[in-house]
Formats: sequence, structure tokens, C-alpha cells
Amino acid sequence: MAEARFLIRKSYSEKSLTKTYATACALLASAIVIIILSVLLSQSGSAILDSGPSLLGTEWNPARNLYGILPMLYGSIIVMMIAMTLALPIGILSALYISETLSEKRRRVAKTALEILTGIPSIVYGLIGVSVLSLWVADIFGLQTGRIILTAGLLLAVMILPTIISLSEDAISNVSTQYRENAYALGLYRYEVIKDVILPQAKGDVIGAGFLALGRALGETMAVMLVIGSLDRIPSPAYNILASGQTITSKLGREVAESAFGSTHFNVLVLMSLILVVLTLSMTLMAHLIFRTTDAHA
Amino acid sequence: MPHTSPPALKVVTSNRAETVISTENFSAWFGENCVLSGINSAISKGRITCIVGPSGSGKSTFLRSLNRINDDVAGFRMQGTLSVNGLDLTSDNTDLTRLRSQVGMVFQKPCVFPRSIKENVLFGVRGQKMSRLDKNKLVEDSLRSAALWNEVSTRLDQPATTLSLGQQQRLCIARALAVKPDILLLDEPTASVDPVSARAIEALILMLRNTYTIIMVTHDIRQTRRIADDVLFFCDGSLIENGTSDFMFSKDCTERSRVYLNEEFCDC
Amino acid sequence: MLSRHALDKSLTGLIRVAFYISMALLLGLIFAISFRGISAISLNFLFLPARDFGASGGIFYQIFGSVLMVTIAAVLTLPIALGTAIYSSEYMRSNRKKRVLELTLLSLNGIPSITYGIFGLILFVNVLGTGISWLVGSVILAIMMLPTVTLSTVQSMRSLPVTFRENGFALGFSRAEVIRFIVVPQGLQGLVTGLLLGLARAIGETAPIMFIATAFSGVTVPVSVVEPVSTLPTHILALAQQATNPAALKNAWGASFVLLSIVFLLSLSAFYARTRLKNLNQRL
Repeated sequence: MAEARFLIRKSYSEKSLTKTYATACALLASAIVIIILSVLLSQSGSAILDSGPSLLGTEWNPARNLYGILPMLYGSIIVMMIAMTLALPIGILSALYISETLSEKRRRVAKTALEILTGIPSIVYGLIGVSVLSLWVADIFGLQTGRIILTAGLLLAVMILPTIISLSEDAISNVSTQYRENAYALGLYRYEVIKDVILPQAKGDVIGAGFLALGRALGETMAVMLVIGSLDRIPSPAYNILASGQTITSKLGREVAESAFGSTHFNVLVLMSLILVVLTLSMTLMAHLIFRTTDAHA
Repeated sequence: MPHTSPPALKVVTSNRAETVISTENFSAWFGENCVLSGINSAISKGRITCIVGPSGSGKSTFLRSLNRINDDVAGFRMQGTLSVNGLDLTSDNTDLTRLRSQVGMVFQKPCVFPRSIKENVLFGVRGQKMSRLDKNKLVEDSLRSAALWNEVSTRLDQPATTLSLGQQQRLCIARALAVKPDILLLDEPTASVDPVSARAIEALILMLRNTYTIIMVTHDIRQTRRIADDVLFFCDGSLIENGTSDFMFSKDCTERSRVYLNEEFCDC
Repeated sequence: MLSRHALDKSLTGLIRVAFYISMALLLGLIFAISFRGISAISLNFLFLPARDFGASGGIFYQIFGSVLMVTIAAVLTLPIALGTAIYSSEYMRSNRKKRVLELTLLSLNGIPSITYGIFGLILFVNVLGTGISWLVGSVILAIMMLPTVTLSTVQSMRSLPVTFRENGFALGFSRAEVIRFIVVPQGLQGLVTGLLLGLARAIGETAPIMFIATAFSGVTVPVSVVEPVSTLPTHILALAQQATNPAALKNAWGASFVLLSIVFLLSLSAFYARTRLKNLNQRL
């Protein structure tokens, strides 16, 4: 009897130790996001107070206390749009090729290769951009410099391509074989099966993949920083992608180290970073919420 | 161990019907695994042919080869002669779209597309230009042939997923019929539905008999007894015996077939 | 209007073209880097320190700095990831809460790397006053790796059939013992895979560490934790900014090739771990 009580007490205290440890870890992990956001918020709050009106302007000149963030916002969006317009169609079509055409063995090789390609560090892309791509672009368009918005968009497109292909391919392969067999047995052509059966079913996950790629495109720093030209100006006319520009990330990459901590300059930079986080976090969360919804239907 | 069919077995079919499907020394593999070996068979037009045999005997693989739907399964290859409606299926140049407009298939598990009932029926003919009048007529004819019209005529625009499994299976039959094939392949069509729906589907198969050539894989010997004109008995990848239903269910067939068809036992 | 057959041929051709474009771009990338990088590699390059702001000399201390930072980052992440995975897989009952935890971790993945750098700059370098410190860099990298490692571990723990746990309880194990002897060994496969994948990503990161943990020149082996180190990615960055100098550029390619090789090795190890460790646990 006494032994039983001893055993019970022993296992109870052991359980507490593991449980405490696990709980502490989980709490820490959950808290980190909040900590990061709070830290950013704390530093950027004063920025709004100090330079409120100029923030929405288009001129960035710390010496004259002007902190217009619109050129950076514009740059981020334009670069992201160029990248998505190029990478999304090529990516989804490539994913269709891999999923619907390749034999199982070749498909696995392609998938492994893609996973490895998503791991290429962004600084390496930056190096290629600055030493190869920008020179090509300058040659093709006859420009003084190839460090322009277009180059950044092109580079980013190549960066997000493996991610889009990989995730879209997963989405397309997940459409159950039953649907495919029934459709082909009816004598439909491949493009009809893809258009009317597979893509409608895979639509959700593919859109989710798109959002993830979008988030990555907005948040990419090193590659964009080296090829965008660092010009704090919205080009005129605005659609001129052959001009240099600036994105939020390239601005941060270049100036955070050089601004004094606590200065208005620094605080505005932190504010921009906060805006960036809010944008990319929404993209990421939306993507994952979409993923789960389509899972639930499966 | 798979072995070739005993050679001198007479293929007993009705003399009046023409042969629409014939195979000669037909074999099939999934990778290294031989699932069919040396199948010699002839299937007659306008009759119901039931393919029976224990699990793993290759019946479904044989059926699925008749519309080349095995092509997309990893590692599948075939050898020998397989001729359907005059088309040689073992060549690489076979026009699969044309083949499947002549040979329709209904699968074991009903698979309706997430669309309306009407759109499901018309799914196989979407590429063809048809007036709205013709389309509506096709929908009605197909659903009537599939014994489903009375139940759904008032709700053709509702999602097909709202139908019961038995109704969904009949919808799949209607969908296959809308393509106007000559031959219908049915892979255990009543296996996934309730007994009442199963009987309804059997009744409709009997109605379809002369207009279509029907080949049906089934586990249900009693079902075979009820509706089959001809029977093919597979075991372990080989065609053990085939003949008219009268022949196969009489005492005149070989021991092995008799044991399987009466006691559902096969020692493979 | 084209016939169905013609449309089918067109689409099939279109997806093939798209695939070839993708493969050409991505493989061309690898090829270009390797081609330019290999010419810069030599034993001297790998084992000597940098000179002339990297335009000559080697990258020894950069390799050292990178390896040091990610190793410590892995050491920091591992226990937290394991603990969180255990909590999510074994102690959380409500599916909704599990989903919330999962989304929280996925959010961490969604934060841009430059933001991590700024976060580290504010919190550690300034508010906590650590100054430029390689350890802080490791901490930031550890945070970045956390979601990948945790989610991978959770996934492999979840793949354990319920009966294994039930058998453990039936034998009289406490929950902690079931976790320690049955669940964690199963989770190790996911842990190792996730760790290798996380390391592959972390070692290539520039933005999070470039203003909190690294310095460009005069850096050798740190003697304390509040010193900077030099790393491969930041070295490449500095060299890339001297792109007009061909010697610097050449070394940049060499450093990129070395970095890429390490990343590929880690990724391949992760795939190897994913397939082989699965069988190892069954043999145990």
C-alpha cells in the first residue's frame, strides 16, 4: 500500500517536471511574436508624433525633417507586382507540367531539385543581380545603369519561382486520382481535365501559395537592395520601371545601421518595418488559413 | 504463380453475336509484378459479360485496360494483342479520346464532380457544340436510361453532391451514357451502394443490354447469376475459363470454375 | 475557334515551355555560380584570412563565424523546439488551441528577415546594451529557426499511431515516461530534419545579423560573447558592393560557391534524414 502511494507520488512529480518544461517552451514560443511586435511598436510610436504629416509625403530628406515613406511603399508594391506577374503564370504552368506529365520517378527528382533551389540564399541572388543581371538589363535597354525597378522585379521573380512551383505542384497533385480517372474515362482531353476538374479543385491551395509568395516578395531585402538603385523617388511617369527606385526593405537595409538609435530617422525606419511586418504577416496568415480550409473539404 | 491459360480451351460464345473486343496472349505488369498473363478472350456485342474471380485475380486490371485508363498508373505496361471495336489498343498511336468516346466506364466508387446534376451529365460532351435544346434532350435521355430522371427532373441545377450514393452512381452511369458509347465498362458498380440501389442498378443494366455491350467486374456471384449472358472467370492473373452463363453455371464447366461459382472458393 | 485537339496540343506545349523556362533559369543559376565560383576556390582561399577588404586573401574567418553562429543557434533552438513540440503534441487537447499555436509559429516564419535584424538591434544591442555580439546573432537565428524545427518535430510525433502511447500507459508508464521513451524517439526524426533545414536557411541569412553581430574587417576568433564575428553572407554583401573591382568580385563568387555548397549539403542531409531516420526508429 505504502509502495503504491510512493509510486503515485513519484510519477506525479516527474510529470510535473516534463509538463512544466514543455509548457514553458510553448509559452516562450508563443510570446515571441508578440514581443517582436511590441518592440517595434515601442520604437515607432514617437515617429508618428514627431513627423506625422510628412510621412505621407513623397520626399525623404532627414536633414530637413522630411520623412515621406510613399516612394518606398510604391517601390515595394511595384517590384512585387512585376515579380508576381512573371513568376505566377510560369510557376503554375510548370507545376501543371510536373504533376500531369512527368512520370512518378521524374516528378520526385523535380520536386527534390525544387526544394533545394528554394534554399539558395538571397545574398547570392543579390550578387548575381548586381554583377550579371543589372549589366544585361542596362545593355538591352541602353541605360546608364541597370540598377532599376525592373531588375529588382526580374530578380525577385526568379527568387520566388521555386516556391510557387513547389507549392502549386503540391496543390495540384493533391487532387484525388478518382477525379482524374473519371474525367479521362469520359474522353476529355488533358487541357479540359486540367481546366474543368483539376484546377477548380486545386484553386484554394494555389491561391494560398500565391499569398505566401507575395509575402516573401514583399519581405525580401538583400537581392532587392543591391539592384534597385536606392533612389527615394517615385519615378515620373509612375509606370516607368526603367528608373531607379527604393523599396521598404532596401531602405531599411541601407540606412538602419547608419541612423542613430532613438533619433526620429531611426524611429521612422522602425515604423516602416512595422508596416512591412503587418503586410507580410497578413499575407502569410491568409495563406495558411486558406490551406486549412481546403484541407477540411478534402 | 501466374500461368498461361490452358491452350485448347474452347471459347464458348453465342454464335450469332459479333466480337467487339478480342485479346490474344495479352499480359500486363505493374513494375515487376505480373498481374495478367496470356489472356485469350473474345467479348460479344450487345451482351452482358461478367468478369468474376477472387481478389487480386486481375479482373479490374483487365477491365481498365479496355479503355487504357491504366496508362497513368506508375509502372504499368502491357503486351500482346488487345483490340476494341477494331482499334488496336497496344499501339502507342491509339487515339485515346476517340477510344473513350466509344468505350464508357463507371467506377466502383461514385465520383460526381462538384457541379450541378445537369452539368455532371453533360460533362463528357463539353467540347462538342450543341444547341441548348439538344443539350436538354441529351440530359433527359441519359437520365431516363439511367433510371434517374423521375427522381431529379425537378432539380437538375442542384449540386450533384446532394444525391444519395445510389443516385450518384446512377448519375455516373447517365454521365457515361451521354457520351453515347457502344461499350460500357462497369467496375463493381454496385459494391459501394445499398442493396436497394444495387437492385435498381441491376435492373437498369438489364435494360441497357441490347443497345450497349456491357462488361462488368463483380464480386457478387449471385448478381452474376441474375444478369450475366457470358462469364469470364479469372484467377491469379489468368483467364481460367469463359463461356455463356448457362454453360458456366451448369455441370459442364471445369471443376475449378464450378467450385468458385458455386462455393466462392478458389485455391490460388 | 480552335478545335479541342488543337487546344489540347497548345496547352500541352505551353506547360512544357513554361517548365523548360523554369528549369533553364534555375539550373542556369546554379551553373553560373559554380562556374564563376570554382575558379576562385583554392586551399589558400579556404584557409587564409581576408585582406584588402576581401579583395584578396581567403575566407577562413568568415567560414568560422558562420559555422559558429549557426551551431550555437541550433543548440539554443533545439530544447525550446522539442519542448514546444511535446507540449503541442502531448499536452494540448483542444484542437483550436493547437491551431492557434501552429499559426503563431507560422507567423514567426512570415516575418521578414530584416525585421528580425531591427528587432535584435533595438532589444539587445541598445535596450539591453549588449552591443554588437555574435551570441545575440545566434539568438536571433535561433528564433528564426524555431518554427521550422518545432513544426517538423510535431509532425513526426503526430505520425506515431495512438496505440503506441496506449500500450505505454497500459504498461504503467506515466505520461512523462511515455513521452520520454516512446514519443520523443519518434519525434527525433522530425527534429533532426527540421534542424538541418533550419540550419540551411540560417547560414545563408544576411539581414538579421548584419548590424547586430558582424563586422567586416579585422575580425578573427572572438574571445568573448560580446564581440562581432565575420560571416560568409555578410562578407559576400560587402564584396558585392565593390562589384566594380574584379578581384573583389571573384572572391565574392568564391565565397558564394562555398556558402551554396554548405547549404546544399545541409539540405541533402535533411532529405537523407527524412528518409533514413524513419526506418531507424522502426528498428529500435
